Amino acid sequence: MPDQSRAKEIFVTAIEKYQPAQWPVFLDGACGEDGELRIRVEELLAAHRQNDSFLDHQAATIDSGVEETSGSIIGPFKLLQKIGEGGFGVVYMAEQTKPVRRKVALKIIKPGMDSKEVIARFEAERQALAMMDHPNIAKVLDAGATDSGRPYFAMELVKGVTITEYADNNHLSTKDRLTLFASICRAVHHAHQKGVIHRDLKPSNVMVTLHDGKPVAKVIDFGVSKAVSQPLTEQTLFTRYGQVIGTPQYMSPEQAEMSGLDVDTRSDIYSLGVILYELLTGRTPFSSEQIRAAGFDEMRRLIKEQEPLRPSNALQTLDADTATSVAANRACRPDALHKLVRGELDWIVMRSLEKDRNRRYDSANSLAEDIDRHLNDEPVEASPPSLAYRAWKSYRRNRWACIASATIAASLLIGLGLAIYGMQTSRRSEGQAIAARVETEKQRLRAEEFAKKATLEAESSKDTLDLLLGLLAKANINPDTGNEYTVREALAGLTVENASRPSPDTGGGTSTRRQKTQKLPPQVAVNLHLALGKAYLRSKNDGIAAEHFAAAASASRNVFGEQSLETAVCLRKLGEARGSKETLEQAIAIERALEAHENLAVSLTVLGRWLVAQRLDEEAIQRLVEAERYFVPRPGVSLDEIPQMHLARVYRRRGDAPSEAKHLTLAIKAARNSLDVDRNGWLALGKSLRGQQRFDESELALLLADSLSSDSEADSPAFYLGLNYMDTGNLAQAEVCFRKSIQQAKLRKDSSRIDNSEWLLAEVLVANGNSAEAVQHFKAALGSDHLNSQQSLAKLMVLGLDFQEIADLLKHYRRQLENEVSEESATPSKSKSAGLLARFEFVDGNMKRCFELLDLANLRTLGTDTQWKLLISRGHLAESASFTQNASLLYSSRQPGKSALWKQTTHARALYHLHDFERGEAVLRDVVEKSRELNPRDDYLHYWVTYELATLLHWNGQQDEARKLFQEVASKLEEYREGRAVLWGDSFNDRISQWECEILSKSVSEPETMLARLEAHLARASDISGKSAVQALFGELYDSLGEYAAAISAYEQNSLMLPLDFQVLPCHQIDERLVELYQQTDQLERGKQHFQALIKRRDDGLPAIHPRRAFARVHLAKILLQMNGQNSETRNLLEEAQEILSHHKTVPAHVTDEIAELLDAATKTS
Amino acid sequence: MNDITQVLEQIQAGDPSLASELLPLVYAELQQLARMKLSREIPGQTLQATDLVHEAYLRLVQHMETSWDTRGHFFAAAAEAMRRILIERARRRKTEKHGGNLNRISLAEDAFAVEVSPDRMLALDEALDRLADEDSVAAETVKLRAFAGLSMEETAKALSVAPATAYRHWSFGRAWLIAEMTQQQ
Repeated sequence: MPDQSRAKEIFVTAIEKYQPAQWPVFLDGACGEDGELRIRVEELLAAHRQNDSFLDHQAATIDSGVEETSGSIIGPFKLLQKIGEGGFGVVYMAEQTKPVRRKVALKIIKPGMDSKEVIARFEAERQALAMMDHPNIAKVLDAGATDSGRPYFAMELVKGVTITEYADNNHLSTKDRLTLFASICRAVHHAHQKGVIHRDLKPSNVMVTLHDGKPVAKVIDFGVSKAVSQPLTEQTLFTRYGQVIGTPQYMSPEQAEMSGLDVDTRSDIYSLGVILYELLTGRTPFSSEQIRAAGFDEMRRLIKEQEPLRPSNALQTLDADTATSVAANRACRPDALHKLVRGELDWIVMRSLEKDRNRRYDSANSLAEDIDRHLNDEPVEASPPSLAYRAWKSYRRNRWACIASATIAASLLIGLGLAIYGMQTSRRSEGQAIAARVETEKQRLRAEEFAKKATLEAESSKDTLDLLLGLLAKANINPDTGNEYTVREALAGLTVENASRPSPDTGGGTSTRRQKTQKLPPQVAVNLHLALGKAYLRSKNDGIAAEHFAAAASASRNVFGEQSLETAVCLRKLGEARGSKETLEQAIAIERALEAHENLAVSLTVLGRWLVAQRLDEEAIQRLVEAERYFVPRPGVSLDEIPQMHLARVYRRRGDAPSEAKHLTLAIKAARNSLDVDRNGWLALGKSLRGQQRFDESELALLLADSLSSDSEADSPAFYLGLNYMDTGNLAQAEVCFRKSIQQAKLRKDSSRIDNSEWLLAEVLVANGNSAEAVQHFKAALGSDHLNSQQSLAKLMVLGLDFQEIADLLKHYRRQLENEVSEESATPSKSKSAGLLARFEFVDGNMKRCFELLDLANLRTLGTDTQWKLLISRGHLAESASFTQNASLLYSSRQPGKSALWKQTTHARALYHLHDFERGEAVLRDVVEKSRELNPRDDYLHYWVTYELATLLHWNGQQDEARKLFQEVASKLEEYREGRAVLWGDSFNDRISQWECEILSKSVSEPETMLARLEAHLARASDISGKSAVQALFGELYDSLGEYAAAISAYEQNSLMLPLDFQVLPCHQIDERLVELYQQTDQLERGKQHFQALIKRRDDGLPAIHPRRAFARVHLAKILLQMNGQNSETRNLLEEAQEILSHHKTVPAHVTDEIAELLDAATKTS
Repeated sequence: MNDITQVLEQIQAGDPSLASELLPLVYAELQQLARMKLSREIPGQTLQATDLVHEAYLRLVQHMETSWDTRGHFFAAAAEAMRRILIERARRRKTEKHGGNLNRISLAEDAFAVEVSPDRMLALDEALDRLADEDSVAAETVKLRAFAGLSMEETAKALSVAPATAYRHWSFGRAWLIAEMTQQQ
């Protein structure tokens, strides 16, 4: 080992005193004959010149060197004062003495850039920059490096403010803004003509100064951006703590792409579009919050793919205050501004913001001209994008992915599973590839041809169907279309090659628009038509589907030839849509010739299915048996494609039970092999298919579920199978199924399912002519559920049973119940009967008697949550509370489970309604604890109640715990988003985004972020309860910021929007807070009006004894007490409140006490 | 009063034996600070290890009347603590990668923006130990710069040497480590 300290000494001398080229000579002398030492130093010197991403990361960010300060001399410039600072560096006003005396702006670039490179890049463009001479362009005079090695640029000094600032400060009208903007476009155009691209256009690079009192815009920084350009990376955009330092809001998609794709003049046009957007609406297409929240990759995706809102739509998403101020800055009113921007200006902006630069204005001048046209009331060149174009664009967007994979595929000739029917094709190509490698020259050529075709195909496919359907879904609800299309219209708009059909006009335009025709490549047309046809077929539009399939088939013949799998698929689908045996036979013939057995099996099955429907059983069996021979179960097969299923159906019709059973078993086996789904999955699928009236497939799925079920499992498939058989008229089977369902439900003690099954069995029995047994089952059904009873009666009547007999039956039954109830001793049967009888009374509206009976009832027998909700909605909160409490106690001791826990939750809610928060909270806590033990696959309840408890705690001032619970729910949501947690179902998605908002509102401290999120959510919230919840959050936020005016109006909106029977969110606290705010801001009169309106709303919509009617009165009374001289009215209100609450048993003392105190005060002051 | 501040004050008051107590305290502080920042800030963002050290410094030490000597103690502890956090993270990443361990790395550790592979990080750690055996000042210099994020001038102050000397230690330590890691590959 050489001497360490000696090596260090030589190493340090070498790097400090010598250039690398001199090292060998230096080492010759320094190390002498010591070979080991020399090797060691050489290693170190080699290492010295290497980069290390970790070690050097620090050096770059830390050694920022010396700050230039005012008074410093840099080259020929003397710094005077700092006039700006940004992500790039610092701008100084500086004085130049030689060769002329003038003031300039000196921009010193931040450290960390190679100044030689920067200056070299600048030099390369210097000549072009020198040629620019335009009154709206600030000249770049020079570039150089400071003593500490930082590059700087000297520029014409522009004293002014940014264009957006200028426009807002001076309340420039939209027209004046456009005029100013057009001058910028012309300046940029001038630069473009001299070959200079700006690359970083944004408001802070467009300054406005006054010349003779007239605003003149000047574009600054031409040439700078290119010189200092570095690859866009996470590092260059985000610094410490995720702050955005670049300006991605103004960045074009091709710049965001970072693919090294050359940036050209059209990139500037995009940025101009963003500036125009901002001038019109006060915001950028993607807000900085949105971008900051998105993270790097998501941000790039956003810019590259996300279609921004049209400016006019963007204006509509502003909240009332912002909208007013944005409009005021433009010297008009919000609705007028919206009208002004809608239509042509929308189109102009959107054309500039096209993701595909070929679709933008071809020059900045054209953009300026279009603006002039708009200002002169001439029709503009820009037009709303057609749907056909959207489809095309979507394909384009994914094209790179497609081509990339195609390139790989072409070399390997495998993995082309991209096409709709990709699997078979890819296998074929693989085969071809192997053949190509080993066989003759001729075959090699064929393989090459194949590769070409494969490339074409990959390019065109990328699951066109999904793409399209996604697109269609968007088209239907897309906020920026500003027009509602039906799916069908959207589909019609997509009739591919012929964009010649007029596109739906979205904005009442006047001009004759040049419709750009998009001609699709034929292989794209094949897939597109196929996809469209399938979509139509799915929406049962066979005629239109057939047109598309026919078009696909003819395109396919051109591209792939008659004898191709592709053409066969088109023909199969065409035959299916038309119900044409002949066409199906064509497909079969092709597939037979190509020996494409898997496809052949499908075509034969489709034909067989059609024959079954035509009742041509013999031939159907023949075809399906052949299909069975070729059919191989494999992943991806749809249930409808399993031939055995259809065979079973034919055999059933022919009464051949053994064959039916055999084929059903086979079908089940095939389905199991095709889809990896568990019992609940099959059950869900079966139910869903049932809902779509696809009974055959549903039956198969349900049979599978049944075969995987044990008798005691909840929600037995047999029940739905029974329903299926009823629907398809297979009554014998239905009878079997309902009997099984009853038996299983009894095992589980699932009373409502027993009742339903009993009733349905009775119906089936009646239909089967077995009315004697039916009566028994009707009786069983009559016993437990009034709804079933009514249906049973109706059915019996329709079937011609003697009405008197039925009435007697019911009367008899009721009398029997009454007898049992009136007996002295308390038997289980008595209590059950009381519960049953209570329902009769409930439905008859005899609430008093109903409640008496319920007191007697064994609460186990008291049906559903729905009924509790009914009780609550009728205002019987106390009653519902105590019953639910009893019920939940009973349930939780014997049958802990979801149902009991939901009941308990309902109980808690009933308690809040009466402002009994303490007990409500206790009950909720209990549910939260118990629900932890539920099946984790079914943890919705747990998170729901956790959220509800958190809300309650939040409103009662227990913030710390509330936040903790909100975080628990938030982390669950995150897991759910990342796919690590079970999906609770689509219907919860809306709710989830609302949760997210609320959770955030309680954990995010930045009001800016929060406001943006709330706005976004408000725009998204689809129902009134969601919207009112957002208003509450707005209120809270403003309240916390001390913006009381805004808080009041948000709270008021919440209060007046909240659904009257909304059970979960508190409304009381908001009303309470409103009372305080009215007092604080001295707006009692407004408060009075608000609560009067609220009382009216609640009186109109709620039952007479509903406590919310009482509480609204209490709030108004509080306001009135503050306003003198209205005390008799106050007393009346309070007495009314007392009267309303007197109908409830469990009103907490603090409520009654408060009212008494208020009454007292009202009496005294009067 | 924060423990760290207390210990620092005692060191300043002349009890340098307490210096070893700083490490666990600073370690815990950094972990907690990272967690706290993450819970508040934008999802998906990453933290710079060195920024975190600076923030801890601003929170704890800046307002004390401390000599650079005392601050040196803090940064030495912080550099070592941050090194351990990052090494721990690299170890877990590695286990996780080999499928040995499905436990997720704690949120705080996961959030550091480190653009080196776990292997490289572990190699650096080992090399740093060896360097400390041979040239402890050079090793200390690297630690202060790479893990505590000190600038050249600050490093020099923390080590009570001239900036030029610190720069030499740094250049040597850096080259030594890179050479060492290259050889170990």
